[in-house]
Amino acid sequence: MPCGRYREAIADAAAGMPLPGDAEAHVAVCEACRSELRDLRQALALAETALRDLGSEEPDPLLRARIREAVAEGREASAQRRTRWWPGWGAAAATAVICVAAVIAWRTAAPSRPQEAASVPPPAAPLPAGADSDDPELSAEVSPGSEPGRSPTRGPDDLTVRPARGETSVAAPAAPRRGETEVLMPPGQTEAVVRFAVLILHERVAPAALMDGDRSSLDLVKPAPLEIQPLEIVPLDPAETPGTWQGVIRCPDVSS
Amino acid sequence: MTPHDAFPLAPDRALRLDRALEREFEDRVADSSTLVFRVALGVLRHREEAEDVAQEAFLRAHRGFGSLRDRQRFRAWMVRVAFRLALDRQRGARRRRRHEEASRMAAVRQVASVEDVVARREIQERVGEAVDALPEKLRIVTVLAAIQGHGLSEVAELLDLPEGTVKSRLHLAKKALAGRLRCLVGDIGKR
Repeated sequence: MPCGRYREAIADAAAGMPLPGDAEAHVAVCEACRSELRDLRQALALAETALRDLGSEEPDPLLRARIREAVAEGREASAQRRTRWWPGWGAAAATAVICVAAVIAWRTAAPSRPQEAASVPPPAAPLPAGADSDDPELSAEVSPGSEPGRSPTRGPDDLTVRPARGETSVAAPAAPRRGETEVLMPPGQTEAVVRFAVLILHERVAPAALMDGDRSSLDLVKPAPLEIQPLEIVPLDPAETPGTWQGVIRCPDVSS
Repeated sequence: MTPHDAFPLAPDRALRLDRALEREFEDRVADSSTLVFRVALGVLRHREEAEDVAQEAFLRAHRGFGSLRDRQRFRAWMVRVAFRLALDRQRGARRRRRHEEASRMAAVRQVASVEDVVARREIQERVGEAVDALPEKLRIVTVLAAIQGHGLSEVAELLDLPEGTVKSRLHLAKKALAGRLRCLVGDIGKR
């Protein structure tokens, strides 16, 4: 029986396609296929009626009002959420301001801490007139107590090296113990700072020479042989000062 | 010089933009709430749930309205949002609704004079199940094409598809529905 051959064509016809010629001829003489086509068309008509019924339903006249209300409430809730967030942001901002103020205060006060720098030596050479000990050109500076004319005293525990102005933000370091040198170093410049510190400790270079733009690095053009003493660099708490490496150099006595 | 002199439009620009957006959004709600409701109803076949979905769809739309790149496509966007939300809700609610429907049908059957109502509800239910069984691509075309006033071109525009694609999908959907519902015709004939 050839009915199976036309099943697809009959289904297509039920869905609205025209029957091909041979299928049409078959359906004309086959009661079963005619019945199949009729049932399928009727089933589809039932479906379309049911779907059209749904598709023509009107929403509740109050739906738009409900939507407007819901949107307004959502807006209000959103505004409330923002309001609730403000105290948190405010506290964070206040904390940030306090931290910045503390850093500024520390940096401002650092050069005038005579007690901490009781044994700090003056530079090997006097500062030239007009030299700025906080020169931003420098990657590091030596402080405090750079009074000209004072004879240098040697000692591993009397050097403070801080990052140059504007190089990185820093937090107040823990006070170094006796015999330790307090150092704050910008990331990646640890070696440079250590070399600088050692150069000064060995009096191979005068800090003032580095700070004087006119005589820039004259003393470094012909460096004396440098013997870097073994150093132990101990991170204090790098996690708490992101972006700044803070540590202590324990330096053996290089003055002997 | 005050900040107002320096930026004559700056102070309330955002506020005015928000107000303009709000007005536009309200216009869009008025224009598309019935469509959104009908899309949801086509999937859920339950008025209250369809209205809930419409409300939720507009709430979401409101949140993203400011960042919508082409607001002229708002109706099409809403159709997709409503269809997706309705499908999600249907998956969660299907079991509960079947139980409710069975209880309701049992109550209705006790009244002999409402046989027609029962038959109509049964047809709707079975048609609904047949539509639910369609692949999503065919299903949304079927739902949209059944909405009053929608021809192929409107469906194509809402779905951002060529008319030929819509026509083809609609044909496949009809074939599938006819095949699934054929037995329903037989059941009705036996009554």
